[in-house]
Amino acid sequence: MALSGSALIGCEKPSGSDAEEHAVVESGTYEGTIKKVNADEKEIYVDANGQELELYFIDETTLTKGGQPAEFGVLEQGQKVEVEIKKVGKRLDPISVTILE
Amino acid sequence: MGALPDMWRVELWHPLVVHLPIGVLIFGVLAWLAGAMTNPGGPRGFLRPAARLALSVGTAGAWLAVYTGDLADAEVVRTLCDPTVVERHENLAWICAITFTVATVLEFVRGVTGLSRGLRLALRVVIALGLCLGIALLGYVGHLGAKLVYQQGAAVYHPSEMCTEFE
Repeated sequence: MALSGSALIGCEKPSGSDAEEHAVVESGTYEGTIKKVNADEKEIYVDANGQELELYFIDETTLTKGGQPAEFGVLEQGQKVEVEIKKVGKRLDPISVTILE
Repeated sequence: MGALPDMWRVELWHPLVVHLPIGVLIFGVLAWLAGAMTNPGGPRGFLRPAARLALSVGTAGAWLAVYTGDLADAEVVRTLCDPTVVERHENLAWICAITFTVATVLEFVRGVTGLSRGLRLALRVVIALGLCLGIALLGYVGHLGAKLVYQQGAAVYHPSEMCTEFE
């Protein structure tokens, strides 16, 4: 009961970033750091100025590194990225992801 | 003409399994509360073991629902207009499953012989609070699941305008 009580007051599902409720931001371009990469679901979590963005790659998402197209597998935790996001309802679709370093 | 989607696709395993624990846990809580107000040696003495069985089966089913929900999430999240609902649904479902797990384990601990009367009474109060919390969470989590299906069409196939795939 204490465990579930503590979960209710903030210590949530202990499986990483996917346990948190993520920020919903307006369409635009954001810079941030990758907190987690989920290769199975082609999904990244980006910390952009304290807001954690959960981004599921879609068919239209482009990924570039050094000006060249890159595969999803090059993404790593801690990388600085610039993401162009389109807000659809409250869903954030990444249009482009650029690895900055 | 498109083909109808398979009814065994992975995102449909969750609705297949989720309704059993909802029903069984509600029954388990009601049986436990009724059992707590009756004499265990009397004609309604079956309520306590029935509650234990229902809470055990329901809790196992709740974890299976959490697991299949994770699988469904991976399939449908890109189609949702408001994924924050599915996040809240997942997080609270997980807390709900923990709550019922702890309450059920404590209920079995309460049955162990040799516990003092005071400890038994304290356990009974904690279990009652846990079950009430669990049932409230269960209702809200179910409500969020219904919002996902009936407001956002999560995992729901939308037939073509002329329904030609049914011909």
